[in-house]
Amino acid sequence: MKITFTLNGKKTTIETSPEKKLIDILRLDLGLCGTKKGCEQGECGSCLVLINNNLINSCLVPAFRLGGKDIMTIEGFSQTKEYSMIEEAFLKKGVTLCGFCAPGVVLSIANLLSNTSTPSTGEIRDALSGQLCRCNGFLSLIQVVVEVFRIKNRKKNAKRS
Amino acid sequence: MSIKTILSHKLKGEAIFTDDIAPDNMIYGYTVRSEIPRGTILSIKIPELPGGYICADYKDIPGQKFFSTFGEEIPYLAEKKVHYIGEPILLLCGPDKQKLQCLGEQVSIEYKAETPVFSPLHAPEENIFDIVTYSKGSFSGLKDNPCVSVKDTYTTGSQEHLSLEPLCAVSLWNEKSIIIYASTLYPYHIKDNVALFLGVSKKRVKVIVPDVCAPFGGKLFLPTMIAAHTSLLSYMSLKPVKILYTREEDITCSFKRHPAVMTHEIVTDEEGNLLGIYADIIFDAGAYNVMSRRIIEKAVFSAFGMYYCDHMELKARLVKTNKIPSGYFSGSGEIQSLFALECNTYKIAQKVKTDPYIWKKKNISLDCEKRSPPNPGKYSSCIAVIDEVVRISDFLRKYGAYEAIKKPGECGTVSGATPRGIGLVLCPHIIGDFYETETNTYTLTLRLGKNRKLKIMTSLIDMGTSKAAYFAMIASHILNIHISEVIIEKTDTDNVPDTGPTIGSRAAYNIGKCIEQACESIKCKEKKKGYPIEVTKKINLPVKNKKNAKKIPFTPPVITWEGTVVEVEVDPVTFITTCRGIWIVLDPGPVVNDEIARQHVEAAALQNFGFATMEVLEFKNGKVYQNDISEYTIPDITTVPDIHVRFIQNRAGIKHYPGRGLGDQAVTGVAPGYISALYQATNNSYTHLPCTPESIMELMQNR
Ligand code: FES
Ligand code: FES
Repeated sequence: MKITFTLNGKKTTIETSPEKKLIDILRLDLGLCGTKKGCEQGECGSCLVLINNNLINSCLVPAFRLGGKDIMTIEGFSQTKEYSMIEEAFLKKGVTLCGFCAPGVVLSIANLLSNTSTPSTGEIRDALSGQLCRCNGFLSLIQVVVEVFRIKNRKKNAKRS
Repeated sequence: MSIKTILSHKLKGEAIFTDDIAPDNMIYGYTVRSEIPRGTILSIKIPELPGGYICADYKDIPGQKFFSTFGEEIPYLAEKKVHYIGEPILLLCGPDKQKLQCLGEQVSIEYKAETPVFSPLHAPEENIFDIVTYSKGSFSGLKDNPCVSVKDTYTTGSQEHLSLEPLCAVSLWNEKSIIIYASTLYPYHIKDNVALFLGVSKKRVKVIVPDVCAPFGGKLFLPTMIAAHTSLLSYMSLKPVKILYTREEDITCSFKRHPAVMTHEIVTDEEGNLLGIYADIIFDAGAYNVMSRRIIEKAVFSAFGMYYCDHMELKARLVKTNKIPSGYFSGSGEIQSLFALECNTYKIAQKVKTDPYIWKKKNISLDCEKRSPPNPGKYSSCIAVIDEVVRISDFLRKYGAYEAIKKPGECGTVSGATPRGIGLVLCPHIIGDFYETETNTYTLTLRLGKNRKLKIMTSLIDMGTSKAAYFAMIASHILNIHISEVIIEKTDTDNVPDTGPTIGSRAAYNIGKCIEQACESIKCKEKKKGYPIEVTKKINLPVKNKKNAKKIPFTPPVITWEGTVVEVEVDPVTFITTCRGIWIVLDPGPVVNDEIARQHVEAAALQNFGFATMEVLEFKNGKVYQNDISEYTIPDITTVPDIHVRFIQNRAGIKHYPGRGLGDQAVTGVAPGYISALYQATNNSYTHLPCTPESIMELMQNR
């Protein structure tokens, strides 16, 4: 079947079988390997993408559900100014990551950024709960998110003044 | 690439992992595995294979049919006998993954089943892979006099590494040589073994390691088997072949942490002065012997920890069962052994009505030096570590308060407050646990160019950016160059020498030391010679010297001390336990980057917290029961407790860098700390890990 959707801001049409999962479409057909495959069961979060601004495990979404949707993967999000703030916070905090969960973590933070102005620690934990990580102890990720919001507010205030 | 650029790549999803490699015309591999735990293969029926699909069994292997694991050799594909459920028997490959799976499921294998052994306690004598015994004084004679003792049998379960990136390899055979991409911590193990496997010279095998997620040393030996499988299929099909394990395959067929059964006894006089320690440790090795000697050595050392007394008796053995092999897992051996030891020291302190801090300080034996060649600094910070962790956690006040208000013999308090407990643990960690041998040829190379840019060539794998950061900081300090001028060469066996296995503490101490020495050599040469200056160093520290090697319990050349406090609160009705905080103090020597070091410790502590509280891997008739992430629960961001980390930077015996080591060493104190805290809060002894809410409830209700 032919499906048309918006991918990272560009209208995209593909020919695919209706059951094919979005993760395979991204990785195998479109060569977007930033979305990782850790379990294919919706459990690990490595395949997170934003669909219509909602954080979704792409390993659970069949092609036939994609028509007309607005999909943002890490490749698209990394071009935005919100991404720059997230990267700045990671670099400032000197977080070490193997990188496998990193796109999912970044998109989870992106989702939080668009939904909240000053999240509590509980909200930060909830926002990142869809992404497992086995190499980092999470506490530094919480600090990164706090830093992201600090940067965001600093930028907002700078604009105002 | 600078460290900042590496992190930026990872965040942008630009890091390339093995599954991201897809050469043109690539086909997929599939592994047909044993369905029984023990028996003989009588016949194999393979369905008719469509064009483009082929199969391979042990007869197709052109060269050596086994690979080494620092223990015994393991077959790449079972020949006649199978020893565990999941053992690879046959390989298939073809262009369509789903069709391949369908064909794989149609393979029918007839077996003559034999009686399997599932418990090391019921295994016959011939199943013992390795045994160590030690005796000093007369432990049994102690009880002739009045004394106090605590004896318990502790069990720890199998633990899964659960690397988020599943095991994966891609091989490309071009009729002359082979290129292998693999998710591994030990690229030269693949290179050397695949060369023997294909019967080609080592020069014809090139291993490239893309980015890797391999927490806790989980990808040390098994990737060699997978790389050999893809190489054989590529060799036969003349096409690039990829094998990516499914999550189920990854959990059910990869090597695990050794489960253990430990009977541990401590005897003191009535004042709590330590008189004797007895330990009987049995490890379940699973079907093959992977690195048994190293596991046993660490367990034996940790069974006594820092308590060295006149009457000590120990027996440790590693036993074969018909389950998935146990393999390397950071803290292997010591994590189990210290759990038993430190739970018992807490109990005996309570029994003699002393607080555990006083008991430990009274009985820590700095005479441990007697067991080893003198090494200044090895034991000196043990007291500082325990003092500091007690101070920052407010242990003494809390311990006293919780003792004062608890109702004797039950989970409740006289004040009606929610019962709480606090545990204190002191652990020595063995650093550089892959001891270099006299025959080793592990090296690394440093090259300083005209522009004073330094290239470090090593086959060690960097999972975060910590190795790069650590090595760069050592080099920049000695050679006085900016960190951004230090480049770590990509891991490709054509460009980097064999530096041996990537184990966190080995990387930190042995390899860090080697970088330091190489930089010193470059510095000397720089005055006399033109650029480029290249120095290759043999990794030969710490060598387990021959005299010490025979000594049981052996004492490792390098130790890092860990002091840990864990505080819990238990709901007296539901028995739901909340961890109120974990405090960890370590003396890794000079800390190169405080932030990175702290993150390592937090991750290791969290793994130990998972081991203590939730990570259950059960076997039903030899088969792993939890086969996906929803069944095998690991700590996530919602369950991570507050972890407070401090470093004591004791520089004794150390010139500049490296420290005694941190790397991604295990934190072993959380599990015994948690169980000790529960013991105080509930007046109940828990002896099995993981100690889940269900098991606490069951134990409390059955009391
Ligand atoms: S791959 Fe989709 S959640 Fe794990
Ligand atoms: S899984 Fe490796 S950093 Fe998160």
